[in-house]
Amino acid sequence: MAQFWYDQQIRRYLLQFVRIFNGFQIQSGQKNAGGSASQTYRNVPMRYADMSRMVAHVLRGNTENALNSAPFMTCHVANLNVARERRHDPKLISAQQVQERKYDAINDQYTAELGNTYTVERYMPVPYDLTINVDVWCSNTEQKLQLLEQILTLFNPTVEIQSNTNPLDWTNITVVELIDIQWSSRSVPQGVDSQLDIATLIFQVPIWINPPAKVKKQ
Amino acid sequence: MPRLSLWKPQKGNDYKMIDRVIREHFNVGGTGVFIHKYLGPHAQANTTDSTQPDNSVVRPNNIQDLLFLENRDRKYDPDVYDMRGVYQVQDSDFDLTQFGAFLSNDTIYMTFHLNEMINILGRKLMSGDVLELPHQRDDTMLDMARLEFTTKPAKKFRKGETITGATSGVTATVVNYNHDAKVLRMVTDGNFTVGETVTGTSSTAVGEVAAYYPEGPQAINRYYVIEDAARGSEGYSPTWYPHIWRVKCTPLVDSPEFSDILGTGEQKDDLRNLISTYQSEIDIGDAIVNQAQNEVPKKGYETAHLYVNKADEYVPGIVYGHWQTNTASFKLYESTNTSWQTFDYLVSSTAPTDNYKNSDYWLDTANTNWGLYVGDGNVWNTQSVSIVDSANIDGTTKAPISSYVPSSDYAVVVSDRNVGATYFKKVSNGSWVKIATDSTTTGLLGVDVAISATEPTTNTNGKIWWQPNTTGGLNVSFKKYSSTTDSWLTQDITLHSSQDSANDAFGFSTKVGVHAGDGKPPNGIQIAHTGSSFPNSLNDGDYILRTDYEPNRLFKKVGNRFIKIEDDFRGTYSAANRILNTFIENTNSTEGTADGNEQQGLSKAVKPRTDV
Repeated sequence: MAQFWYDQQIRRYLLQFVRIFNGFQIQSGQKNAGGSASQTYRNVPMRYADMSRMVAHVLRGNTENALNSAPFMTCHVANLNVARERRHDPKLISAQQVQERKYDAINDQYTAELGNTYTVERYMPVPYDLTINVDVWCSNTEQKLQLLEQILTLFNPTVEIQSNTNPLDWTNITVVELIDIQWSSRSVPQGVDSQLDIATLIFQVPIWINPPAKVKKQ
Repeated sequence: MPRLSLWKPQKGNDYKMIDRVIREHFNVGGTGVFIHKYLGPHAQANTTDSTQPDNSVVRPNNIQDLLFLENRDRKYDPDVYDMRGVYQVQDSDFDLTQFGAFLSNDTIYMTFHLNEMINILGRKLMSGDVLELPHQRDDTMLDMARLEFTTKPAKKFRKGETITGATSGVTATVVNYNHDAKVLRMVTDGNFTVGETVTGTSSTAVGEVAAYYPEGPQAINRYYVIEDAARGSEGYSPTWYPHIWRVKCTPLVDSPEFSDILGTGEQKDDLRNLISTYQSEIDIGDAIVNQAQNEVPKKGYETAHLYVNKADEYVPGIVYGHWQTNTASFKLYESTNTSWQTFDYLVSSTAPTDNYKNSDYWLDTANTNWGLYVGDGNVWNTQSVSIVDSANIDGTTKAPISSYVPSSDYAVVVSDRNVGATYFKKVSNGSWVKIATDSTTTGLLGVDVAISATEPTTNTNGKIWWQPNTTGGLNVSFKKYSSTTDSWLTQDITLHSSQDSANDAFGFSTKVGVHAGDGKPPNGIQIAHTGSSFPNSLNDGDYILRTDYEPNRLFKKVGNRFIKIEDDFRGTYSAANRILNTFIENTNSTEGTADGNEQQGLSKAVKPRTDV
């Protein structure tokens, strides 16, 4: 039986992906001709889309009277494809030697002296292409344009993300590339039913999934 | 006798009788409906966009945006109208979408008495009016206990974290936290004390309790917004006149269109804080960002805990003299971006007069101390050396030819950048022997050889001592031509017996992969000075962080130089790149723009003003 291991690698990529889209705002118009002072800004929530039914009800406070809010952004993994063109020597082992500063356990701090030395053996990671869809739900067109103008200027063509800060992880930096946009989920004209207007931005993230490393103290 | 006809060109008594009966049906059997009356788009001041007019007279038939044909900033009557309506209650299931759980088919068709509606509302119900159904009131909800803070805490409390009251010692789990409204909802078994401070375990946010409300009953009504409105077919009486107004309603969404009804959420009593999932969604987003920040607090790599021998990059243009420990010879190396390289230079006792260009190097033999001593049993006597000209150098061995007879028995060959400057001694058979410490060579020389920075412990007659030490020993005079000043500028040459030694001295690195670029010296060394200048008080080896560079730049003082070590690229993560970020996250002020901000839409930058 294979020994269990799990390093939350795709989870961490998604975590940083969501981070890109957090903090965007939309601006309202004036109220009662109050000028810019009467304009308000609203943060646009962003979270993972594929929630469980139970959590959805928890968020609604277990009442059907609760209101969903708009505008809103969500993301979900649409696809995970094997990236054959990025495959390198599948049996390569890369050994990296690192030296740690000596740790003073009494004062809980590193000193300037040489501490432990480690050899870290890394096995060739497996490349994949992660396709992530971001759905943008807006209650009007102006909102949509405000949001998209802020988002689309970032991707020229890519935004860099980093899944962790470990210098030994040779796969922790990657890019998010906007590869397609679906302007609206609605048909024009709308007909008798007004559906939610959802713009979908499709992103591709080249990732690598690493097997566990061997860390040997020397 | 007039013909029998219920149809009459005017609304007669038949119509009135039927209308009263229908009205009574609504009054008796209808449900109460609170109407939030749409008044029109909010008036906009100073707009010059003809597609988005002022609409200074607020009317429901105004259109806010003539391009997209939508009314976004809706003004609602603060008064609520009570009417009676009838509709068919139906079952519906929750539809789980990416944005949350929606009630599918939760579209209701409600009818109202037309004339009653006109009497109460002053007009017919229209698309955009909001209906509040008190009979759908959910009064079985439990409001969570909540805290209101005196002032907005510096940090945000986090969803799911534990908070503790400093005085009461009561703990609670945060369910949601509205930073703008300074309201925190929670689950707790205790009672917080007004005036005490509460602290979040993971966020370390601190707030002073202005008010505490224990868990209690809460009720919210059901809200719908009218999408379409028309006469209902069932509302036509035998007189063929309509009596009923039928509206198609969908559940209200907490969007800015309805902020007049729901509030913005910034006030603690805003309805939005009770009824909308917005705050929970924001809290979820904050939790994700918090964790993302924990995992990547700054761009780049975390290397502060690693021990680095040579933490810094090469700096091009540094020259050092590399002396051999077993042979009296030295080479000159100049740093590039990544390594040390030997280089060609001119050799003469006087300044070169031709065949040179900017940045060429000249070894000034007249001012060079070659550091060669010969013992007499007691003292070490400085020995003059001759610089062998190219005509007297053997092209193969790079040694002086036998026929070369200079004024002394010692000579230096400086012929090739790869060989370096090599010392020779003329021996009794007339040949020239390279001065080295191995036994074969000393056998040929007939004397002992010492190569050391310090004086040898034994001094015998004829013993050769080469002192590769700039103090009293080898001191190379090296000059670099500057076409700007048209002069040869003296270069500071230090001596090292290995590249590692030179790397350590200059703070260079051959190490790859563990480069932080974090503006911090290696191995926990403290920065001696942070600021926008190099103070005079600095010592050799001190690190200085110049904050007037963007990004901040770390320097190391080496001799009379401040060597660039690295730039601090480990800023807070931003989706925009460093340069783009200066355009987007720009809060600078400037003069001459309409709003005093440096950040302007490009289409509005330096637009012409009225010129009469």
